[in-house]
Amino acid sequence: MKALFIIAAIAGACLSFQAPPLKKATVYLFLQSQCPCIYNHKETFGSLIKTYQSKVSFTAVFTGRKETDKDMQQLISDLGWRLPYKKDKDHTLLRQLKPRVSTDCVLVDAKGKVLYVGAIDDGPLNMGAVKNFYLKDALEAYVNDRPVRVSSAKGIGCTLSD
Amino acid sequence: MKPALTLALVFVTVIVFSGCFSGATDKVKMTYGAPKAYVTNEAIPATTTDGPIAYAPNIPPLVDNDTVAIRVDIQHKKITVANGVCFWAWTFGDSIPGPVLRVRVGQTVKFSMVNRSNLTAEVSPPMPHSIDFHAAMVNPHDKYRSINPGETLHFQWTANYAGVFMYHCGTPVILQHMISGMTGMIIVEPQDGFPGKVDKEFAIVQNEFYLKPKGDSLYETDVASARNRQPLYVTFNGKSKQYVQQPLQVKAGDRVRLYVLNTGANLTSSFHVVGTIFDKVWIDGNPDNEFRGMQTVLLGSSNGAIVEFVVPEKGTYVFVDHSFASVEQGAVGLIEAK
Ligand SMILES: [Cu+2]
Repeated sequence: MKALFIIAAIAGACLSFQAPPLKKATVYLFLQSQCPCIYNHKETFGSLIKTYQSKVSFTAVFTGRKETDKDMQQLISDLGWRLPYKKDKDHTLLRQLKPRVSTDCVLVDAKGKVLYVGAIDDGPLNMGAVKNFYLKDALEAYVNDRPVRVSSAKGIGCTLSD
Repeated sequence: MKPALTLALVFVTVIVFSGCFSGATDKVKMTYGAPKAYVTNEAIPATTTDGPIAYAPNIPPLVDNDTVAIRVDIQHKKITVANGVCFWAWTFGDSIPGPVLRVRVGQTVKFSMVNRSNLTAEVSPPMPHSIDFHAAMVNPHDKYRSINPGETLHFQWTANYAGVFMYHCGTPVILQHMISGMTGMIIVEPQDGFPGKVDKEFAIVQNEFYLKPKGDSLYETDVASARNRQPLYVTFNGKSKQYVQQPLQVKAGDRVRLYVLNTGANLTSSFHVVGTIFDKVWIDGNPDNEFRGMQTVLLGSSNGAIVEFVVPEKGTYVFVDHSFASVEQGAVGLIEAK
């Protein structure tokens, strides 16, 4: 009985030493597989994934009810990104995070607080010249424990509905 | 010869020659820029166009005013490119190419455009679109801005240069918008009209279609083949070989004027009419840029030209992009002279 107690105590101690997995902040990128607007951000968003993926999770979200897995995978593959995706056919994330158009992204911290929602950058509004790196600035602020200065920005993309 | 007389002769000679060499363009009072564009959210009109428009090969009448109001809306629409080949296109007005517009140098175009993609989107989701007029001289950032589905864009511009110009959607990714059908022709007449009289005139817009099969007769745009410059079809006025089935009709002896535009999106056009020679070619459609006796006119992507020729006798005259792969891909038509 005493031996059993000791084994249980050791097991309990081992378990308590195992730190709970750290929840990362997440960037949700809202996409439509038939909308070409995201190609404007192929390089920029791709480099954000590479730069911040150790500290932040990146996930694509497809809201179209008619979209197929093949179409979604094809788009991500065409963009050349390693990016997991979620289907949001009941629009739970769409209602919760309130992106306006496809290519909008939402940065949510580890506690579930929305820090930024909107355009990746303003390149498409400036004939390709990026003047404001909205998402990059928000990520940089987050990983350095600073407040996010611009919490939303208008982007160019397709209507996020069916 | 007395020095005074010599001087007078030189003076007269200079005047005469400078008169010969200054074209109509030099006499135009240029207008640069225009008031700021603005966007409204009004009820979407019943029709997709308003004002003087026509669909190629037809050419609309010229409005003889200092201003002309033109509306061309954008929609997502199923378009047939060849027998048994259709796709969900993005169009200006109701067709590919978009409607032919016609204005005059010095005229102010009061332009509006509704993005109707929210009404007609089937395969593609409703999305932003825009319009870029090569005939205008304005701040592109302002006038050529993208508008959201349901919005109406308003801006104006004044025509400075005569010519055959392209318009197209400039919303990124531009290649995708162009190969989805968003291109068209605008003709700008010189202030006193194009010189000379012709018996028949037609508008011919050449473009490439980059498509891949999606199922049955339905196709979809293929950006990969567009990037590789490998079209499935090259067409005149949007349908493969349509004027082989229904030739353009003229009479023997007619002087014919063709307004030709290559909207690309990628390739050049070597426009040629078999059986005649272009008596006059106005590069980019401006009579100041005149060539005579040409066999072929080379048009880069977005170049236009006006070609005039006499139909020498009864017969059937073939017009082609003399880059012959394009002929096999659909860029061939007939002119029938009775
Ligand atoms: Cu467009």
